[in-house]
Amino acid sequence: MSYWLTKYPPERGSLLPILHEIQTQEGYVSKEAVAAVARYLGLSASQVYGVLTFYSQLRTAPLGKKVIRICEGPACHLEGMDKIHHVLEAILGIDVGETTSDGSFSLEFVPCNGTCNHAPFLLVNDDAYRRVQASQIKGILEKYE
Amino acid sequence: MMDFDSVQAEAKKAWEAQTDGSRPRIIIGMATCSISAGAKETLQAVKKELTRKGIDAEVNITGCIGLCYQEPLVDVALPGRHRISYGPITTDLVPQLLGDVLSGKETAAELAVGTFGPRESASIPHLFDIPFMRFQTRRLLARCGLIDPENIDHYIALGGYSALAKAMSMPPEQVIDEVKRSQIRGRGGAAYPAGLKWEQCRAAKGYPKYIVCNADEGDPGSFVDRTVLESDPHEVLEGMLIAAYAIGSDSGYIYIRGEYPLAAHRFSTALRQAEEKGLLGANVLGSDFQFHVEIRRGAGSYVCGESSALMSSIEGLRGMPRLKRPRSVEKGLWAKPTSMNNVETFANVPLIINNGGDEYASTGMERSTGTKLFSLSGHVLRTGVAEVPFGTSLQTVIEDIGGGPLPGRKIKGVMPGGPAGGVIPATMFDLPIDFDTLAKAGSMVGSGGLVVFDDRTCIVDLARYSAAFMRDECCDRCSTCRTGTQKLVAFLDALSCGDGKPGDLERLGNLGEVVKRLSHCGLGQTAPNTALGALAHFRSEVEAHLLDKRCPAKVCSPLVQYRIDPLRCTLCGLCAPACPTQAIIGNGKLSIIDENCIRCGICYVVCRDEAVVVESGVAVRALV
Repeated sequence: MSYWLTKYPPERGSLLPILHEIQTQEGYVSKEAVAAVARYLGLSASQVYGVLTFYSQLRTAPLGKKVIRICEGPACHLEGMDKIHHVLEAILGIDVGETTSDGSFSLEFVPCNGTCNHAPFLLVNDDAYRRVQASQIKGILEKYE
Repeated sequence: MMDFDSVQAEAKKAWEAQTDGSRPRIIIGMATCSISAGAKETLQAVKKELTRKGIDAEVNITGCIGLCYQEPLVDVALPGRHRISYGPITTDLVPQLLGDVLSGKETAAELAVGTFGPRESASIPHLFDIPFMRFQTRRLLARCGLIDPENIDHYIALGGYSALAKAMSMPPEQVIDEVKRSQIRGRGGAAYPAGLKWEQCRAAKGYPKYIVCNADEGDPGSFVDRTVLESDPHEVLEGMLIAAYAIGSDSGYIYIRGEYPLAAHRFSTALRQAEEKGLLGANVLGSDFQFHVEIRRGAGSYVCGESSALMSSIEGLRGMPRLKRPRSVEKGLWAKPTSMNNVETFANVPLIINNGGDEYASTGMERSTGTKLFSLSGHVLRTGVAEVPFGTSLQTVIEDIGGGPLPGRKIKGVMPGGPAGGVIPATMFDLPIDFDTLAKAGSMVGSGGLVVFDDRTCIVDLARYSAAFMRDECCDRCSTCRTGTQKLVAFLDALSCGDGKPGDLERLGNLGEVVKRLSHCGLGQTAPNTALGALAHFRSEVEAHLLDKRCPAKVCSPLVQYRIDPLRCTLCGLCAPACPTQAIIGNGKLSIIDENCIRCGICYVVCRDEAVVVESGVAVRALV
C-alpha cells in the first residue's frame, strides 16, 4: 500500500500523480487509500475525495471483468452511437458509468480516438470493433459471455 | 561548451546507417489512430511473415503522417529504391504485400498510397501529390510519419534542435523579438500573441518562473496535438526549451490529457533521450542554462484545458478555473510568473527561430500568420490531420483535402473546434480560415478540430449533443454556466421531444447570449455556440421541431416512429428476435409496440423487404 510513498514528495502537487499511481496498481482508489493519501499529504480525507471525484477517469469502485468503451466523439455520435449505447444499456441493464451486478461488464465513455473513418467505434477490453451497427451488439456481447 | 555540431554529426551517422538501403526497411505507422485501426496486429503479422520467409529486414515504427483514413499504413523501402507507402494494410494483406514487394517482383501497386520519391506509375503517385497532401503546407508535420518518434537521432538528423543551438547563441531578448516579429498567436483557442506573453513573463518579478505546455486537448473531434506529440515530440520539447531560455525559466510542466497514454509515453521517452544528449537538464549544451520538465497527466476533465484550471490541477486542487487577475504571466502556477502555451504553438517556435520571425510572418494572413493544423473527421471522405496556411478556405480543407461528402450524401456544415466552436453551414465554406473571420461568423479556429456533418444529421440533435457535453464538463462553480448549460439542454431536449413551446427559440437565443457573456471561463462562454449557430444558420430545421413536431433528418427519436408496413412484410421473422427490447409482436401481422421501442433502428437494418418504415411528423403520430 505504501509503494507510492517514496516516489512522490509529501506536498499537495503530488496528489493527482499519487491517485493515478494507486489506480494503475489497484484498479481504483479505495476509501482506505483516500485516508492514507490524506495522512501522507497532510490533507483532510474530504480534500482528497474532492479531487478524486472531480476527475472522470479516477474511480472509487473497481471495474467489471469486461469493459466496453463507447467513443463519445462527434463523428461516432453522428454515425448513430446513441442507438448503440441505448442497445448496450438495454441488454446489460446498466447505464454508462456502471458495472453489472455480477461484475462481468462495465460500460464507459471514452473520448474521440481519431479513428473517425471507422465510426462508430467500440472497444471491448482491447478488442476493437469498427463501424459497429446496433444490430451486431447482441452477437458481440455473446462472444464474451 | 558542448558542441552542437558533434551531436548533430553523430545523429546523422545513426540515421544514415539505418536508411542507407543496405537492407529492406519496413516502417509501420504507430499512433493512436493507427493502433485503433489495427496497426499493432499488422506489425505482428509483418514480423511473423519476415521470420517465416527468413528475410532480413529492418522494422521501424513511425508516427502518423495524417492519412488516418488509410491506416494501418505500412511503408517499404527497398535497397536502392524510394520508400513507398501502402494502406490500409490489414493483417490478411501482409503476406501479399511482403511477398510481392520483397521478392522484388512488383510494387503491389494496387495497395500503394504513394511514393516518397518521384511518381512511379498511375497507381503509385508521389505521396505528396495525392489530393489529401497536395493542398497542404507541411511544416509542423514535415517529420510526422517519416521519423521514429522514439528515436531522437532521427529528429536531430533532420534538423532538430538546431533552433535551440541558434537561440542560445542569441541574447534572450532577441529570441523574444523574433517570436514577436513572427506575430504568432496562440493555437490553444484564445489566440493571444505568444511573443507578447513571453515578454511579459520575462519582465515579471519572481523566481522560479514556469513554462507550461498545455497538452490537454479535450475538444471532441480534435486530435492535432496528439498527432504531433505521438509523431514528433521533440519538436514540442525544443519549443519549450527555447521559451525557457528566452523567459529565464528553469522548470517546466507539460500537462498531457489522461486519455493520451501513448503521447505521454512518447514524450517521456523524448525527455529521457534529450537529457542523455545534453539537450535538457542541468547544463543544456554544456552552458549555464538549465531546464527540467515534468509530465503531469490529466484525469478526464475537459475544463482542465482552460489555463487557470490546468494550473489548479497541477497544484493538486480540483481543476477549476480561477480569477484571471493577477495574470498568470505575473502570478500563475504556485503564484509564480508562468508562461503557458499550447502544444502546437511550441511546435512552431523552432521554425520561427530557424527561419526568422519576418520570414515566418510571410505565410498566412496579416493577423493570422503561419500555418494551422486541422483534424478532419465526421462525414467526409478522407479523415486525418492536415496543415494549411491561415487564409485557406474551408472549401479547400473540406472538399479538396477531405474529398467532400461520402457517396450519395450532401455536406450540411462543419463544427470547427468541436462542441465549443459553433457551426458553419456549407453555404459559407468560402470563408478563409483565420482567427478573426471565424470569430465574426460566430465560430472559432479553436483547437483545430473540424467535424463535418451531412444531411443525415439533425441540427437540434447536434446542438443537444454539444450542450450536454458542456453541461457534463462544467466545473459547477459559476451559476451562469452550471444552470445555464442545464437550461440549454432542457430547451433542446424539449425541441427534440416535440415539447417546445411558442417563444422557445427566442428564449433559447437569449439564454445562449447570457451564458456566453456572463460565464467565468471559456467553457461557459463557448457552451451555447452550437445552439446559437443552429438558430442562426438552420432556423427552419429548428422550427420544424417546434411547430410541426417533426425532425426532418429523422434523428430525434421521440419524433420518429418505426412502423411495419403489412403490405411489404413477408413475415420472414428476422426482425422480432433481433429487437433488443422485444417490441415487435404478432403472428399473422407484425407490429411494433411504440412504448417498448428504443428507436435503435435494428429492425430497419435487418429487414430485407423494406417493410420497416421510419417516419417523423404530426401526420405520422396520428396514424399510429
